[in-house]
Amino acid sequence: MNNDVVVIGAGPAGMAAAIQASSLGLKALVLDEQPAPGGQRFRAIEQRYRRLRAAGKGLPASEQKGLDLIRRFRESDTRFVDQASVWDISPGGRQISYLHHGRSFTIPANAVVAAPGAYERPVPLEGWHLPGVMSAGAAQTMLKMSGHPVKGRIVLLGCGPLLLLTARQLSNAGANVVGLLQTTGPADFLRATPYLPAALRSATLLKQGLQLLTQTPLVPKVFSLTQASIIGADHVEGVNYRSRGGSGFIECDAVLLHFGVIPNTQLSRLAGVAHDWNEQQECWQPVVDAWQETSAENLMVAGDGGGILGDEAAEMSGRLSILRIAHRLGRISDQSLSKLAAPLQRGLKRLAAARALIDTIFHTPETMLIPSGDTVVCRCEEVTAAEIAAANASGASGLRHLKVQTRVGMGPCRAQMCSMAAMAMITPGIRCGQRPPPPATVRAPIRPLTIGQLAEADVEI
Amino acid sequence: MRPPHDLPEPPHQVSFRFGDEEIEAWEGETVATALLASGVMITGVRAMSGRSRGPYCLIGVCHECLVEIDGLANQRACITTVRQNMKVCRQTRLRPLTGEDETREQ
Repeated sequence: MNNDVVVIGAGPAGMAAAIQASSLGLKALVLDEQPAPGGQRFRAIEQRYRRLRAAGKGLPASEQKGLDLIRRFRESDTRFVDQASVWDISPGGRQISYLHHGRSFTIPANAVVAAPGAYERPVPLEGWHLPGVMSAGAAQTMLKMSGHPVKGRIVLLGCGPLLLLTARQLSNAGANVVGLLQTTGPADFLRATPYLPAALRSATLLKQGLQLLTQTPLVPKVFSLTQASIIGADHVEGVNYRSRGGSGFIECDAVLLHFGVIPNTQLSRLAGVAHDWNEQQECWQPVVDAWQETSAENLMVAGDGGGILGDEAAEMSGRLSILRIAHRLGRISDQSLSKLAAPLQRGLKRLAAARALIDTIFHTPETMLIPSGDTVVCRCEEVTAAEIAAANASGASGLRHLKVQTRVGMGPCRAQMCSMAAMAMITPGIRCGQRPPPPATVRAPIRPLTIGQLAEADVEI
Repeated sequence: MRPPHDLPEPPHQVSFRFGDEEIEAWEGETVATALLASGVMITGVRAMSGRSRGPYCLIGVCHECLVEIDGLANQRACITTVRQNMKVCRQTRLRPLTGEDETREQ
């Protein structure tokens, strides 16, 4: 075995973990699906830097820290495999299989830091399967990678800091934003006021939030949005909406949806570790201790994949994971463990306190929580809300039941896009403390894999 | 420690085929972002319903952008980095069971 630790994901958490490992003399192998490190937060940042520099410009300050992190990561004594898609992790995490340039490799792992990150909460709306509908994060990714904003007339719809940030970035890039439809309204801010004092401890975060709320682009805006359906034959042609202030229709060519982000739990669920329902963030997440360690020894989950706290917290949790592993291996003393960990654990507490405010303001409205009628819930298998409701009415009470009866969640995305909505449909009291049923079991392969790739796999035991 | 990592030159442009079209992209960019930037919205058609689909999440989660790349089916366009002269095709129907079979009736 050549590695002390295998890190899955090269976003802020994974990179910070690798840098910390290297500084303590641990050998880390880092696997990431993307062609370059950065994760979604700092996607393609090296490339953007090169493009901007060639044009005589620089990166904005908020992005410069990402470039610095990537530089430290690249300069660290870490083995980095890009374009590596992990398709299996054994129970407890001691064996990892990944695809790399069409070939499968299975490797042993002494310790694992999984840093799978987050993805945008899928909220099925009528017509959301049409070409031209993307997540707001996708529009951001496109802008980062290609340098081009989404084409045509754009409507942004939903809630959350990223929605507002994307609106601003698209406008600055010269995109034609024709509507910003927010579910957020005065009631959300009122409900969130009790959480303000705790959030004051994270002044920078609060300042950034205020800037986002007040510096939105000059485009038509709707607040307190309660319902929306996307219209079009073969692609997006417009959005019908209803809000507390009335209803309307906007003609457009693209709709960008965003309803906050949720942890990507595919890997941690596949590894069979304990998960819990986070009521405040309305999502499942792995149960981790103060060292980011899951219920399986030496299997850590760091960053947003362990609960949404943002990139600053991700770096802290990535480093904490490695400190624990290094301590077990006898590379650091009890004393230096507590000395190095204390500021990180304090920082995580501070950032978690600010989170309640954000989560309460940007809340998916009750009216959009449960899809109905012809709305496609499972995009892969094209299962509608009506079909799921019918299966539920005839006795399908858990996600496995629903799956067997309707094929919901059986397509290539492995239920990542539909399971939250399907779960809400069979848990009507989800906002009143009713605990949702556990998500359906995740099974390998979690990425498209051919029989040939499986047969020719390179297995190291 | 490794030598300092520097990123001096600007990235190059590359081009690839999408069906009959020639698509320009930045080196290091993914197939999906290059297609979207060129105005391609539809990357596939569902065999059963005939519904058109396009990229949705661009981070490898939703699998909506599955395309055929250099003969290999079901590749996520949003995860695959462009290469000069790569051949990308829309997936519009069920695949034949063997190389010689005709495409199955839908």
